[in-house]
Amino acid sequence: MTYQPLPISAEAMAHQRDWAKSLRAQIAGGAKFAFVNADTPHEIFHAMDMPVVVNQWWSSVIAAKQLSTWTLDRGAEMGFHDSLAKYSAMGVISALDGDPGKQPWGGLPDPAILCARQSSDDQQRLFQLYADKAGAPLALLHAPAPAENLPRWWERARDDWEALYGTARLDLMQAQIEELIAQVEGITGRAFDRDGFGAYMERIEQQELIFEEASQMIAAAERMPVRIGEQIPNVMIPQWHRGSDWAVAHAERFRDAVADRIAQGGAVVENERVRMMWIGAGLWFDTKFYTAFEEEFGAVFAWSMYLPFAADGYIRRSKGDYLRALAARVVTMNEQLHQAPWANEWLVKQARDYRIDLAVVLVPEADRPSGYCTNFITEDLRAAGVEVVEIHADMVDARKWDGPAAKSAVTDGIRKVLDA
Amino acid sequence: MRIAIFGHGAPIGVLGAIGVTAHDVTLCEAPAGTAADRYIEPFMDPFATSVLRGMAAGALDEFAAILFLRESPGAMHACLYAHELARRGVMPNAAPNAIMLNILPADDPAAGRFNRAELDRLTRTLTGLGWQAGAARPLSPQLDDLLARQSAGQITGAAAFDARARLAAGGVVDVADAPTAGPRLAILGAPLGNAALHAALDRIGTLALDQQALDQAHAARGVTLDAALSAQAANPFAARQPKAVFVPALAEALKTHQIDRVIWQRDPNDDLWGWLAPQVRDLCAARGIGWTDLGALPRWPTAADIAALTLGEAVA
Repeated sequence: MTYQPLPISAEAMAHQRDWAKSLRAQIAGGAKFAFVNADTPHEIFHAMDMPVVVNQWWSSVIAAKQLSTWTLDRGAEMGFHDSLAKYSAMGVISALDGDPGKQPWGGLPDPAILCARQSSDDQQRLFQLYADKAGAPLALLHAPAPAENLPRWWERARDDWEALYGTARLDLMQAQIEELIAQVEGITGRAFDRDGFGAYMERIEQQELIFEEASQMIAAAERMPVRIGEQIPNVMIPQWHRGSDWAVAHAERFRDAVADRIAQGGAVVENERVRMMWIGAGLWFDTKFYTAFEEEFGAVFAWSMYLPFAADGYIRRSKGDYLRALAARVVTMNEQLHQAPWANEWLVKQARDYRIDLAVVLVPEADRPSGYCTNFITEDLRAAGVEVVEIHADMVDARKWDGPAAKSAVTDGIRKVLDA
Repeated sequence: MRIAIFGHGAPIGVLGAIGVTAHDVTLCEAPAGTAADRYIEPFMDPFATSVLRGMAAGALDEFAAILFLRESPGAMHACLYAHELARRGVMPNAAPNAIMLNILPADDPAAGRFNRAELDRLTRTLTGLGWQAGAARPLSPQLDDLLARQSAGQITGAAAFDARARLAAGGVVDVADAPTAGPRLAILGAPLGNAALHAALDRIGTLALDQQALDQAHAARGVTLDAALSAQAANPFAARQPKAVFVPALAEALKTHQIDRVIWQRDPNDDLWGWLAPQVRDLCAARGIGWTDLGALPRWPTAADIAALTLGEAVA
């Protein structure tokens, strides 16, 4: 059986290409845009019709265009040592380098504002470099820690977020979002529409609930209907445009396409023998890795964080206060994926839901906040009966990628599962 | 009851203003081989690794609580790991309570409200453990005096480092004058756990300035709560300072202390200070100040680590 991609996957990719082309044209035409981290309140920029370039998305584009080696080597020449983070830095280094021949789209013009959250220790330094180069303001959001990471966050986060994340932290984040609104109003000359924002937030919730349905269908399917290489663009492209008419409609099309595929008995491989989960960010420079074990072993990557996190990471019921709900969405967004007990508990729950046999954990040692908690995760997954393979590599640094060694490690893991 | 604090740039002034005396355990080196080790990734912040080992081994049991400074690199993760290890039953029951402490180095109104809310939470938590507010010993005058004497060449860099460490840990210091001579050096970059590098640099010249000491002195300032919180916000050497004030403040410090050469070093898994290295290098070049980048160095360097640096050539 030859795997047939979902037709809507091409639609998603085409939409992103059109959007990128349009954004590029807008930017070339002098439109002001924001350069922001993934865990910041994009909703404010979207609501005020200010184009956004997401740092980590831009980094993945650089990697996918096989420009990471050039860019990171240039960073080394500038004097940045090799243990520094790559995923959040590549777009910044690329901008500092400024070589139009070595950047996607010939490079970005200077953003009108930058926005980052101090979720890791380097963000203020990294973004200040870009802000200085661009001569643009930096909206830097504080990221204090909760007193305690309470268990089963995904159950409490939808409604009980005030207690889960803490009133003081939410007050702070909400106040900073208000400041951000004022900054964006100043840049765009447009007023923030608070009533319209509520309707927009409701559409986002609708979108994430649709993705939750899709995730539950895939998890429950007898055989894996859709490769994660397809799941990711079908989720993340709408997520970058979350709440737009297109994004909500695409989420519905994706859910329906998955349902059809399952109903028709379609599967990634005919004889599925091993279900795998990919823990960590996407392996952006070698996405073919995800399919490398299908033919020989019937081993399928069934899970990546992007689809289930759309619901668990984003649904925060407003209770009439949409800005506070937005604060609850971003105040701990990234940390839930990388800190104990949040990450380890959630991954075990996901592994059970998806009936995972083997987890492949990407450990990016030079991106410590993403690498922390690995040993808790692996121990808990093993205790839950999941075989675990760790791959020490970086999501965007192709220089450090040893494909044959990674394949060999995963192959050994698959054989253990099959021999068990 | 005894309270410890973990993290570089401990806000001693803030804590003192609310009646908390905290003993700094950040530089305590604990050996491997504890029950916590299997959970500690090799790239973890070395100070975080050490405090977790210390807690797991019972070396810090004299303290009822350890305050972990979220704004100090690695300290937040150390606190989270301490919580998780306790949840798993790995941490001994006698280990100190791990308390997350957020004091933002910022003074905008929202940050101000947040900081005060956090301090209220801290006093409630400590009270629940049996703590009572008391008069805290201000360290700022002694830390400032050590900075001044080190800059004046009256005491060595190693003696100043050790004195600051003893002072922060609750000890008494009385450092006798030991005049230094030679080119005036500054040690910059990531904080260190011992004075081995300082001692080696003392043999080459006058180690007049230490970034770690500047951070510590700034963070300790302020007697009243308002003044102490303002001092936190104004600390240009705080690792997670959100304003772009590090390089201008450093430029001023290099001028004030008449530095001839900067010695830059970092942790092997540094993910923060390295972003500043090219700017500091360029600053030095623009000011005619020598620049020596020692690269990666363990945080508790041994004699062998120092010998491997061939400092005489590197600093020449």
